[in-house]
This record gives sequence, C-alpha cells and structure tokens, in this order.
Amino acid sequence: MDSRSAILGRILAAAQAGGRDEGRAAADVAARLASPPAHPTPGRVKGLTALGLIELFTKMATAVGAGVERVADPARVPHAVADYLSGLGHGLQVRIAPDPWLRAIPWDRRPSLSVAFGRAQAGDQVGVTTALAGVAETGTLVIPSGSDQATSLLFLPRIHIVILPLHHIVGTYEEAWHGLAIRQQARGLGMPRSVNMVTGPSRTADIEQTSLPHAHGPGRVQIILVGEPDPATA
Amino acid sequence: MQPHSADFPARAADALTDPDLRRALTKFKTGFPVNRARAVANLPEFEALRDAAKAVKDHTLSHLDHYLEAFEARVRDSGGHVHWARDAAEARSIILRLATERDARLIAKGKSMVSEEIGLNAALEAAGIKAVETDLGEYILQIRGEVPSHIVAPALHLSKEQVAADFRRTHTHLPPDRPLDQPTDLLAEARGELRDVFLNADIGITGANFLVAETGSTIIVTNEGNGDLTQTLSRCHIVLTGIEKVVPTLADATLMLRLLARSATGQEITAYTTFSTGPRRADDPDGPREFHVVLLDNGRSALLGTEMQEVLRCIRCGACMNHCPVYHAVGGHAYGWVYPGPIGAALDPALIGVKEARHLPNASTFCGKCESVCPVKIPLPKIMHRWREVEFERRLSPPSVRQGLWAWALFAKRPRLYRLVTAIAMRVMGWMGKEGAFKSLPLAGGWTGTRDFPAPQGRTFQSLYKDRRHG
Amino acid sequence: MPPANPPKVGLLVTCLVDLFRPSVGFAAVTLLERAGCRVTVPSQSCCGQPAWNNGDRTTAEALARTMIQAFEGCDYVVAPSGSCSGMLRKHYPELFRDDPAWAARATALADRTWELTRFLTDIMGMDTAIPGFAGTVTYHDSCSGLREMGVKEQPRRLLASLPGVDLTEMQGADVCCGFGGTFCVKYPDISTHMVTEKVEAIVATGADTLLAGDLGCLMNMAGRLSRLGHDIDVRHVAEVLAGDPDTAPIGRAEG
Repeated sequence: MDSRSAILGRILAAAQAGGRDEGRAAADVAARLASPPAHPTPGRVKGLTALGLIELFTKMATAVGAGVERVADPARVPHAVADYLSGLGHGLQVRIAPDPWLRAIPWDRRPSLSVAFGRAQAGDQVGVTTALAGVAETGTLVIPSGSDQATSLLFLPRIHIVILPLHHIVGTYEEAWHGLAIRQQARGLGMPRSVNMVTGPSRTADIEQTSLPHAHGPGRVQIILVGEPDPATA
Repeated sequence: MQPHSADFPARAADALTDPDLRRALTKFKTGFPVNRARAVANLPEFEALRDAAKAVKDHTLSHLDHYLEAFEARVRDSGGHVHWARDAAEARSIILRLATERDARLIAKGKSMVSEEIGLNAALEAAGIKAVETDLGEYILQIRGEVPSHIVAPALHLSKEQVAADFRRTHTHLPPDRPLDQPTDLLAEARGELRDVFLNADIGITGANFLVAETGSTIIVTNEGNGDLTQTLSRCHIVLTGIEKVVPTLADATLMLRLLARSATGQEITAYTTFSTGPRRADDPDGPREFHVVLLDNGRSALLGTEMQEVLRCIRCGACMNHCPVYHAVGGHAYGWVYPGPIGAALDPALIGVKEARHLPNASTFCGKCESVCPVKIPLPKIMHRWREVEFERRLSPPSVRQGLWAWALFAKRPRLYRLVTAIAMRVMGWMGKEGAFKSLPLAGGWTGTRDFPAPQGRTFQSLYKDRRHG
Repeated sequence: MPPANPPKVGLLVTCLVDLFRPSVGFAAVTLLERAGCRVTVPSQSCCGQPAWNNGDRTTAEALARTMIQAFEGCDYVVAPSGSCSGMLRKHYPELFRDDPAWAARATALADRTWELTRFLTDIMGMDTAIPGFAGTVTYHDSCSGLREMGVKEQPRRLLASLPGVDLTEMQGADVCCGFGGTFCVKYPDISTHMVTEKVEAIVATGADTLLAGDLGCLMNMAGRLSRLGHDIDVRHVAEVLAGDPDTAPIGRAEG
C-alpha cells in the first residue's frame, strides 16, 4: 500500500472505531469549510471609530518597535521617506514594489531620492511597499504577494518602509482576510502565493533570552500613513 | 534523532550541577511566564479563545483524513506537491530525492522540530548536501553539534561567552581579534554569515506551524525573518511538517495565531506570520518556483481514537515547559529527545516507544501547571498518567516500584489488617522518632538523603478516634 | 448558627494524617463540627492514589471500591487534603469509565467530595476560624488543592479571620514543592532541587510558621527546612484554623 493510503486508512479506521457517522462526515467537513464558525475576536477594537482604530494601530505598532508617522497626501510621501532616511544618516536609494499606486506617487518631487522598482536585490538597503491592511488589534501589516508586490522587499533590505493609505486600517485580522478575499475576487485570483503579516522589525531572543532588534529581516520598519481620516466615519 | 531518554536520571543529575545551565534556567523561569501572564491579562477573550481552539482541534482530529485530503487538493490546485511519509526514514528519503533530483548543493533551513525529529541534517550531510540552520539559536546549536533544549528557544541553555567561543572557532575567515563581547556583536556576525546562505541556497526547507485545508496554505511564525528568507529566495521551498498541523480554515488559523505567540513568548503576535500557498505565480516578481509539502505521520495517527489523542491538539508553543517546575530544574536536554517538558512526556512515548521514554511521564509531580497554561487545554497530566498505566501493564516499571506497590496493596486492600499493622508500626516509629524526625531511615534513602523524615505522632487517628468515641 | 438538619460529613482522614499526624484529623473534626456538621469517620485505609499514580489501575480500583462503599451513606466527603480529595473527585470517575454501574457510584461520590477549607467556606459558609494560634505565617498552595479542587483564597480568608495570625505571601506560592507522591523518592535529585527553591521562598518571607493543606507537601518542606537548619515551624492549616497551638510542629519533638 502506498504511504498516502496507509496514513489516511489508519485515520479512517480510528474514526470509524470511534463511531464517526461516515454517512455525514464528508458533508460535515464540506459545510464547515464553506461556513466556518465565528471565533471570539479582541474586544479592544470593538466600537472604535476610524480615528480610534488609527490610534490603536499606531500604539500597537509603536509598542513593537515600528515607527509610525502621518502625511496628508501621496505627494508628501517622497519627502517623508527622504527625511526619514536622512534622519538616520542613511543613503537615499530605495527599491519600491511595482505597485500601481506606489508608482503613481510623484517620487521626483524629491530628486535626491534614487528610486527603482521591482523585487529586492542582494545589496538593497531600503524596501518600500504598501500593505493591504494595517490591523489595529496588534499593529500588524498584512501584505499579500502578487504582480504588484515582491515578498523579498519585506525581508532582504535593512529598512522596510510601508506606505499605508489611512483607510486601509482595520480592526481585526478577520477584516483583513475579508479585504483580501474581495481584492482577489476582483482580480479573478485565488489565494496569493504569500500573505505576510509583519508586526514590527525583525528581532531575536536566542542569545541569553535577551530580545535584540535586527535579526535577519529588517532592523527598522517605518510606517507612513497617508491621508486624512474620513470625517463621515471619524 | 537518536533518543537518550532512557538516561533521564543521569542526564537530570548532570543538569542540576551545571552552573551555566543553572544561570540560564534561573533567568528562563521568570522570563516567558511573566510575559505570558501580561499578554493574557491584556486580552480578556483569552479563555474563550482557548475553548474555541480546543473545539477546532478536536473537530479537525476527528475528521483528519478529510481535512488532509482537502489540504492536499488545494496545494495541487495552487501548483504545489504533497508527499506522504509514514515514518522518519520515508520523510528523509523523500527530501533526499527532491534534493538530489534538483542537484542541490546548499540547503537553507528554517526552524523545524519535525526536521530534528527525523534527523534530517545528518541524512543530508551523509549525501554530501550542506544544510545550514538559519534560525540564530539553531545555527549556534548546529555549530556546536547540539540539539535544541527548548522547542521555541532552542539555545536558551547557552551563555553569550559560549556562543562567542563557538563563533571564533568556526568563523576562522574573520579577524581573530574582533570584539564578540556583546550579544549584538554575535547577532551581527551570524547575520553576515547567513546572508550568503539565503542568497545561494538551492532549496529552502521550513516547518509549518499550521496547515490550512480551505486554501492549501502552510503557515510559519518567526521573529527573525529567517524562515521567510529561506522560503522566498530559493528556487524550491519544501515544507516539512506533521499531519496533525492542519486546521480547517483561515478563520481557524487566525484563532490559533491569537493564542500561539501569547502562550509561547508572551508576544501579542510574532514579527512575521507567513501564509504560503503554492509556488510563484506567472506574474509574481519573486518567490520559489516549486512548492512541496512533506506530511509526516511517524506514530501520530496511532494516537487517534486513544486516550492520548488530545496530545495531537498541541500547537508547539512551549508554554507547558515554560511553566514546568521539573523543566525549570533540569532543562530540555535531560529529556533526551526532541520534545522536552510536559508535551514531550506526553508525546515522546508515542514516537520513540514507552520503553525508551518511560522516565518522562514519570518525572512529573502532576502539579498541573502545564495543563493550566496550555492554549488548547491538553490534559497533560492525564496523558502522562495514561502512559504510566501502559508502562505498568507492559511490566516495564522497575521491580522496586512494582514490589513496593504490591506489598503496600496487600495491607491497604484489607482495612482491618491495615489498621492493626499501621497502629503497631506507628507506635514503634513514633517511639523511635522521639526526637521528632529521622535523619535516616532504611529503604528511604531517596527521602532522607536530603530531607529529615518527620516522625509520626505515635498513634493512628483511627485508633485514637475510636477510643475517644468509645472511651 | 448550626443548621437545623446538620449534614452528615464523612471524614476522609487520608493515610498520612491517619498514620503520622492524627492532630490534623482532630482539627478537621473540630472545624467541621463548629461549622455545623455531623462528622462520621468510616473505617478506611487508602484512597488508592499511590497505585493510581504509578499506573496500577487494578489495585487503585479495588481500593476505590472499598472507599466508595465506606462513604456512600454520607452527605459529603471531606478531606484535610487537596490531593486525596482530588483523587476521589477527579480520578474515581475516570477509574471506572468502563464499568457503568461503578462509574455512577463513583461520580455520585465525587460530586459530594470536598477539600476541607473550601468545604468549610464555600459550602458551610464559615467565615471565622477558631482563635488560639498566633504568629506570622506563610501559606503554600498545594498543587492538587489549587488546580484540582479550586482551593486558593478560602484558607487565606479563614486565616485572615484570626486576630493573632499575620499572613506574608511567599514568592511563587503556587509552584510545586517537589513532593509529588512517589516522585520524591523516584527522582530524589529533582525533588530536592524543587523543595530547596521552595525553602528559599519560605525563608525569604521571614514568617515563623509555614502552612499548607496537604500533609505530603508539608512533610517534604518540613524535612528540607530542618535538614538545612531553618528554624521555621511547619503545620497543617487545619490545626491553626482549629486554634490548636499545643501540638508540636511537624518533625518536632513533643513538649
């Protein structure tokens, strides 16, 4: 017998010995996959306004070592990026995800920035991406892969800058999943190859149980929130 | 990995007198537990999440065949491959074949306890393939030729001085007089060394914290980002994991993620949580060209339908060992195999045999702390207890235990005889122990070697009470 | 005020109290009677826990049957021990899971079984103990009492009702002392390490008396305290709550 049959056969035998109703099992599984039960979600986001979610997102992201700043409109983004990097005494070469919205940002407003688009290369120091969602419950960025997003940008450079439209901030992971489903459906796509949740910069506590920033992934995560809160929901 | 669990008492004795380990464990026992308590206090829904997670896992385990088939179908739909391995040898040969077919010379590895379980690195090395651990703790252990002492914090038993010495010994191409005094120096050096591995690896192997049947996704959770570099940059990503890791849907996985890091390190969530579904799509700018999942059974399915089934709910957070007073005393290496602490005591007998692992479920006071912090409410003492029964049924318990129980039961089963004999014995013992306590007692060296033995007051309660009522 | 129909409480003496420290049993009787119970002491040997813990189900079952028969006529079963009451409450039903008739009897008994201090407070509504003992004390939470029987604040509440008793909490009061039944002789090195850490926590409180609700743990901690030369009295909490200052502490000579 091949291994697949052997393993599945043993599982089935145990289930049957335990009295599983084989007439219903497949239908039960199909039904549960189609409509999973709702699990408890953190009360900390319940009843928050858009402004409240932004505040919570900022607080949680900051607590894990990410930087968060706000600009009013996309035209301010190049300045924010350049000022942030200059403030660190860092060079101004950045690699940007090939995302249409990021491409549309007037990067040339800040000529000193050296901008290239695409996946990260070995020597890249700064990766710039957007995110599908900023999740307030833990200050987490949700970044799916796709033709417009290179996963390597999240991990290979030393600095990860995330340009996040304000209205992408949601309360819970579930809301981010919902947003992903809608987006993929609109594009006629299924689950993307990769969905990355990023919560602060990389770190390790493997030496003497002391948490140190900057392990293998970026040592800095800077989140630039773009836009004004919608007064209708604020 | 070759088990050494039968040597538990000797390994424990060594651990109790190892000064480096004592320092590490002293720090350890107040670190993670305090962080976890804070994380739990910050999430009032935590108890409700535990109940929900237990229910998800119980449902999944009772329909495991269906969910694994659904997972497999979705992996295929997304262009990936699923391989089934009955045991460690089969899992090793699947991965060796994949590596050889691809002419792989260098393999980057993310942290995977299942890889330790099947002894993968040794097998790859024997085939002339270099496999490099990229998690900092695992990298240090690989250099030292050691195995993890904790499933989440594998190198917690080491001091920074030990690591510095290992780096000097191994990284001989670097200036010998470089400073390595600070943990940040060590981290920077490891980061530099491993960068080339990420960039040049032919294959990346990771484990999986969860598998999602709904989408065919595998999930890894890390803080360092090594697992992501491992799986993003190489041409071929192989996921090696156990069959019990599957959950039905993304919603269920999300529930588990809310529990995992809080239980493990006390973080709200780790820095990186990655859902991987199939290989690079046609228009993706990066990602692996191939995606393989190796599903390992290795004794797990044999637990289904038994009283030990609940151990398969485990999400490998390590909370049980973080809170275990026995683990705090002896550390992970004493247990002699991949999974130490309470989860090891409950799981290892199934994976390496009751005879080899018999000490592990016995080396517990049944204090119950592990069960009280387990995010999926595994009744760990109950399962350890069940293994003790199996041990007794198979006559594997040491003669001293069996004979002692037999002799004691002889009296205890006969209340009248029991009262008579104990009344006399306690009179004698009470008289002999007039000083209040014994410094030594025959047959009780295990106690009196380090503790005085309080003497009885002299008469039994039952005889005194009878006198009082009738007197 | 004693209730009009006082409940009949069967005292589960426990082996260790029966054999080593009858004064705990008498303290329990005093407290139960003060709380308004009619106390009976059925003839008994052991609840079977040592056999159960070592995987000897057959012996454990035989002993459990005897105990179930002995206590079936009681409204409640109460033990000055979280460990032994936990055996009846949590493990007797598991023991007979394949024997429906005995399982029903075991479950019926389990549901009526309590640890002493929890029974006195939560069931009988006792809120003041019997004065007579004075001193600074620290209290160790025995594992079975804490995690199987829900004993945490009840003994502390009763201790707080005693005018001369001053409770100082130790660090990690809920951490196991390393007794663990036969564990302490099967793995003496580990057990010694655990009890040594417990002793450090006890000594650090500056208390002159250590209390707990399980005699096994108490003998373990008393034995290590005295071996290390610490002059700290060790008593079962029931003795203090019953106002008994006269009995010599555990491991000390009378008089």
